[in-house]
Amino acid sequence: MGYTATKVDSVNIGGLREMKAFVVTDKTCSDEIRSDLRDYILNEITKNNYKYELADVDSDEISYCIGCFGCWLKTPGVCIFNDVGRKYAKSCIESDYIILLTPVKYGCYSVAIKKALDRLIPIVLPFFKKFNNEVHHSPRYKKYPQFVVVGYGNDISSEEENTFRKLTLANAINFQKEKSLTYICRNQEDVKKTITDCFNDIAKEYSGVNE
Amino acid sequence: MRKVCFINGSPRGEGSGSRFYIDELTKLMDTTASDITHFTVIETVKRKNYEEVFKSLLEMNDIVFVFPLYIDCLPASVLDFITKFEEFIKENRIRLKDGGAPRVYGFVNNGFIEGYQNKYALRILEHFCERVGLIWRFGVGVGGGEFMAQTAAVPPNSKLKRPVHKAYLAIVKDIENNNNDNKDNILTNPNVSKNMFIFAATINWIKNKKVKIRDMFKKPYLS
Repeated sequence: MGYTATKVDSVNIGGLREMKAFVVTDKTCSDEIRSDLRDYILNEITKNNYKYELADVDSDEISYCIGCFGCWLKTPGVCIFNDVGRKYAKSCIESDYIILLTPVKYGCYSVAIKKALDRLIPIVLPFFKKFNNEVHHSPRYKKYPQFVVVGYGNDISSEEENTFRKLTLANAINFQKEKSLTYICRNQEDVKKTITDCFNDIAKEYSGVNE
Repeated sequence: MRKVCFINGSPRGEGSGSRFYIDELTKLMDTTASDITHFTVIETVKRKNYEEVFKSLLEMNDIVFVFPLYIDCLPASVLDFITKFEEFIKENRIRLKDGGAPRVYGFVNNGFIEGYQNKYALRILEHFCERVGLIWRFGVGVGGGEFMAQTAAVPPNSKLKRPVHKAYLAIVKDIENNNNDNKDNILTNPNVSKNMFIFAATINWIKNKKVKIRDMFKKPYLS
């Protein structure tokens, strides 16, 4: 199965609420840079004593969203397909941060990651609201995870990066956040800095939440 | 005769809003001047006949990708389709010459009223075309996708739907005239206020529910 529910208990430090991350990577991508980024992300999580769940998405083990509206009209909040996609939606909404680790393809996510994202639609309502004078989906839950995206690839054009950053921001808004924390890593030499910057920003965000 | 292919990228296939838009576009085309072919991504997935479909696409003059917006961009099945298309082109070392490469259009519809929320999907299609050597012409992003399909009885050239009708005509004319001038994407929607749209959508969701209204708000994943 492409889903590993690995939970590490955190230590409650100084009264801070325990932070939990849901890390989603593309198992079908065999690039070394993916492996290094994944290792650094998990190192930072364990170093900070965060709780986490990890999903290495295998594209063959998750169905496409078929747009049937079942998760809105028949089995509200739950996808009709009983596969790992349901677990991803559960893990997502139970986390403070969703960290997507994805190759950047045409300014978009990889197929495996996009399959996983499409299957998160049950966590919002079919009903609409206005945000920044735009129509978006209303929230099903009171709390949503902060959207963190680490995109990688050694051949990402500046236009593709621009599209990707704007896409991840749009996604964050539809998942009820006001911003996305998005990072691009183009080569192995930049892996450590990329993930260090990412977790410094997460720590700043998280301490802001707990003030 | 121009060879034109419409690709239905809706995971719902034949009964989808995308099929509605393909029918609207096809009605406006001069079928004596264009030989029109249709493929459906989800059928290609089921039959696993990607290679046969890709070979056909490379013989087209014009390809129109029509699909709904999923999480602000392409449904995963359409992303998979174009990714496999690039792999096919590379593995077979197919060099697409500028003058002879198929021209590509995108037609994306979304559930929100703002057509501009489709813009990143169109950019992603454009980046794909640049990567593989297809000629990107332009795209159309239509807001109120379900609204348009469910008001099929309202004439397409009515005041309500005129902006979308103009967008259909823009694609059809560009195909038939084989235009080469630079064109911006057309991001549009039917003439309806946001508040009216939200109200109509709310009624529509309630009308189509299979559970009690209060059960539509269930939170299954938090205890």
